[in-house]
Amino acid sequence: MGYQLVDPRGRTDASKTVSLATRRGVGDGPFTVGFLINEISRQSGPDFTAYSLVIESLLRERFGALDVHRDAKPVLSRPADRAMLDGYRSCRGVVSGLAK
Amino acid sequence: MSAITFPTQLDDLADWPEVSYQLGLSDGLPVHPPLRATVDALIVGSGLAADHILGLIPPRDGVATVEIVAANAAMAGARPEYMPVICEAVRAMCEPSFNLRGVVCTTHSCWPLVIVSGPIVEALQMATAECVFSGGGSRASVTIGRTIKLLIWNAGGAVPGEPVKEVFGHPGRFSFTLAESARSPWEPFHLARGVTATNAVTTYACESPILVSMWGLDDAPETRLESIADAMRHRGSNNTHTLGEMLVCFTPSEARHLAGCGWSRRDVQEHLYQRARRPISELRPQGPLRPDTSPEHWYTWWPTDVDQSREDTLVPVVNDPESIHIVVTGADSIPFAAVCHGWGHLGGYAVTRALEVG
Repeated sequence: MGYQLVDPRGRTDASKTVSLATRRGVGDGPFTVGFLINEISRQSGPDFTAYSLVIESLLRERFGALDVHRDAKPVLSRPADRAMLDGYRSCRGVVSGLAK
Repeated sequence: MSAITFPTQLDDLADWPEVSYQLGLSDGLPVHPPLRATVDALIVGSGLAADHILGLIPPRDGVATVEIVAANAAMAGARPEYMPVICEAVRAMCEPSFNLRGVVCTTHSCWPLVIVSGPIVEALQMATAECVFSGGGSRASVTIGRTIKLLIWNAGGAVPGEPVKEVFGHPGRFSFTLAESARSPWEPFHLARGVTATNAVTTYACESPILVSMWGLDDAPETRLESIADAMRHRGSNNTHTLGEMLVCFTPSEARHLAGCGWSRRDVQEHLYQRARRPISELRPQGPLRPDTSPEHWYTWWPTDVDQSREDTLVPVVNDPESIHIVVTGADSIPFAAVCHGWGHLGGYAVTRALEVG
């Protein structure tokens, strides 16, 4: 006869479980790369918009023709809304970041 | 990752402390064992079904059923009559406007403060006098806040490093609760926030309190409030750059003084909103990185009535007067105030919920 205990961690919400998308590789022909800037405006130093332009330039050098989808969240710590995320559906890959 | 599994049964309770540490079920402070009998009593105290879901606790998205909340309350040492307050606090911090995921994982030093107002404060013997921000020796004050911490730790999986990035931490992360004093000369906090109820619970994410002692001041409310405005507008605060919300606490004696001079809570909010400001020239970077005043360098989140083309424009530190949350609490002795900066415009905004108790 022992003491019964309740695990305080419980379970996680199965509907929130996410997995990484399959890596699609570069393949042939033009493809789309997404850049998600985590916040529109920074007053100090370089921001991620400028940095993403550098990455875009490097990708063009390496892969040639390239389509780019670029968007920015209004506030860095709040999740991107569904409509914004839907804009990245056609992207082969998405780079998200914040630089200051 | 723990190398052992959770024991649903324990033969010797003396083993619990080591088991709890090995399982990572505590942030370092010792915790009580979540005994089934204790958890069941806490569930009854909530007045809700054990499987009733109060919310999802990020970042792990743990399902906060009443039973899981009760298990963490048992570990904290809470009593069944505290459960209605705890459950409303969980609901409040799970509302989207609170952005709990961000609050928990940010690099910033904010944490959910549970503010309780109404006669239930006295009924539960919550602290409203000396040492109020550290629980004041009240079991209710400490264990309500402690339950919130343990719930986020265990159900949410919010442990330092990965995924929690908070740089310095916050003493309130052990337990962070505040109760409004019955000695307030003003209407209850929740009524001022538009929640018509006898009792209420508010969650608001904020930093540790900054003490404002009334040195070198006369009796005029304007000069006394100036010291508070000065504490509200420090340059390194998220609020100073992004607005948001802020908490200002007055001891009962200071609140009585202001009320005696004819100042309502609303008057104090309006005055602080006008005085807690800084000129844009002090907010922009100095030296070679100093940007010009062209629109591409403007903060997009500042309201349009903030003229960013002028360096002498005074910028408020909160969204509006109502975003200054005024609570009367603390020892009824020396006139003091305390200011708790928020997380800026990023989240942690105050959510107030009516509290139904049987």
